[in-house]
Amino acid sequence: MGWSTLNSNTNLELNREDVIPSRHSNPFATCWTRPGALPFLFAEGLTAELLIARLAANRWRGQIIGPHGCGKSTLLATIAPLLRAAKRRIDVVDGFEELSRWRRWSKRLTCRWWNSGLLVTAHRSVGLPTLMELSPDQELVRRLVSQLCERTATGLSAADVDASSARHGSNVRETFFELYDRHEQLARARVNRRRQRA
Amino acid sequence: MSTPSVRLTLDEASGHYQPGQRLTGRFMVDGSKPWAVRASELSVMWYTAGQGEEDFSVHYFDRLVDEPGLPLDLRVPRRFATVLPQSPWSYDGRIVKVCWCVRLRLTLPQGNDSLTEVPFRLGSVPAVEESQGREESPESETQG
Amino acid sequence: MPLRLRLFVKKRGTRRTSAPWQGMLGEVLLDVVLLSTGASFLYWLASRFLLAEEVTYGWWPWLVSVIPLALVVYGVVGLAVVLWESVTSAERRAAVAQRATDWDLSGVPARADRPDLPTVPPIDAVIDSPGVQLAYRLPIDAASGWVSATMAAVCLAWNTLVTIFVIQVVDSHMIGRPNWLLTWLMLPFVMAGLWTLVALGRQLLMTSVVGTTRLEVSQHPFYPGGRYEVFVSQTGRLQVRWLQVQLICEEHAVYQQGTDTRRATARVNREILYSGRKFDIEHGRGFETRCSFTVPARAMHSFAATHNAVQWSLVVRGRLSRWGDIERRFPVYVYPKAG
Repeated sequence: MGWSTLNSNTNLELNREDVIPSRHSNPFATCWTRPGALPFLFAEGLTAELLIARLAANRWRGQIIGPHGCGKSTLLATIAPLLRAAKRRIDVVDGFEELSRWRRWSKRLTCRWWNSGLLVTAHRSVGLPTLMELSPDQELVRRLVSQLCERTATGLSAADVDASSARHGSNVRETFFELYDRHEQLARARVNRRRQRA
Repeated sequence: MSTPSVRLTLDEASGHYQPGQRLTGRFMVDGSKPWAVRASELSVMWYTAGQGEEDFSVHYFDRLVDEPGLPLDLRVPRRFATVLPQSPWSYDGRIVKVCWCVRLRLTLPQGNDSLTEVPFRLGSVPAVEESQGREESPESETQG
Repeated sequence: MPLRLRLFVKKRGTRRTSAPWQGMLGEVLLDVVLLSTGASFLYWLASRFLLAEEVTYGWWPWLVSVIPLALVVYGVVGLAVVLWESVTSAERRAAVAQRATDWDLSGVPARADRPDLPTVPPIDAVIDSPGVQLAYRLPIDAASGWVSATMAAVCLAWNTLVTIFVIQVVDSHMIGRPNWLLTWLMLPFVMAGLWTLVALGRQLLMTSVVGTTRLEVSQHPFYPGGRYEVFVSQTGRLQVRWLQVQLICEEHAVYQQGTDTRRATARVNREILYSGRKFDIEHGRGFETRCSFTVPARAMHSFAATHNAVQWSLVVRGRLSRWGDIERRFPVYVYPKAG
């Protein structure tokens, strides 16, 4: 996978003072990285359809587990159209373990009573069949960054991305925040060098 | 479903404006036959980008609606004009950016929307430099 | 088979896990339930008590009628909001809201000291207080003052509760029937209460020893490129290792991810207006200095939105022998130059 640093058609080549600020100034701005803005990237062999099939095989009950910032909400946003197409009653709860024990118990009972499916996300197992356990690795982060940089080039190198990913582990959200800062740093350093030369 | 080819342009080629200056431009939709546009909404607005949630506010808003007997044919260029406010200025900060743009939203049949944006700069605040604001302890400064 | 309404979906901020129309339908149902409940209750109340001709029930039925009335109002407003949001775009809603805030109430004179500057915070709190040496005395950042007040409130509440139980324990010992279980259980709470007393005492001592920091400015608001004077005074009995007065500009951004809130701050401008090292401040004499500064000509003005802000402050920072670091922050406002 190649990394573009300076693309002849990007804003980075221009004096930053000439650049009109917009959401395209930084590919890691929250408008591009928030859940729903980026499609979920499945690992090799996994697809959204397969996930729905697993859910169906477990009588429409399941959990998606993973640590902070690993993409659980993004995954829900990605599979939402398939859930609707299933034409089945399904309750989706994002952050199931944040409900009280009583609410969790009553939710499960209510779903059983109404013969409704239940799909939840959580940081740890809440007793439902595990459909997917998210653990983003460096390769996934590289792919996500590559996608983000299709719209706006960045001066970041693959080493920058790998180092940030290694620091934050599976918390992709924090990785993006750090890469945001790094992109800003590089862009402004470039402007400073140009000013000094001028 | 294909989307219409929209041309949204500002009269000021540089895209740089000063507070209180008049912003003018035009928009139209290319095509040999008119698109079935239910409504068009043109906004002159600012929004924030960066590491925070997006805030935005609309300074100027104009809505054109397709009515029976008065069809909305956007192949004819439509002009718009507004006097820009004194604030907020465009700002290219580190974690907060204040961005101005002209946004055209076309409401198409079956609830689809087409969105086109042209950014512009209000004011003359330069981008924040990397070295600005770095914190150093006075004791370390004087011990050199 | 249509999807059942997911009334228990935990909506995390503005993100959705269902189609927008389902959320809207849920809200409509809730508003209808509230409206019909309120209307039914109000009808029953009216027919049974309010409009009863045979017996008068006094004023209490009228007071109780506030409850169903509130439900009716909530239901009607909720339905109207859902309907409005379903047929309008975000830009149109924002434009209407903006126009509403721009309307002048008839009979209310325009405020001459507040030009029309969207997103620029007003400076009323600053220009309310005239200075002695210069035009205005700046109010200190409210957050600093709350520390002592909060500590005092916590100390008072905790020790009041602990004292009640301590009295019972002591009483039981004095009448010869000691309650040892309660005695041992109370010990950690008593220790915690003593700790809060010590912490509060130290905070108050520090406040009285370190004294008051006073900042006055020659003009306010500031403008880019403008030159101003600042007067600083510090009272107390202190051995100062170093002291600085700085003009700083910071960006603040808040990002909400469901129930998590991430706050980021970035300092983008710092100018040292005064810097002094190794001097003493004596009780009764205090420390005073006056200096001039220029706001950068192309500085960004003060900006405040719901989740993002650009804030300017005058900050007095220092390191004191025995008391460590202090920082007193005084918010100031930079207004954009008229175009």
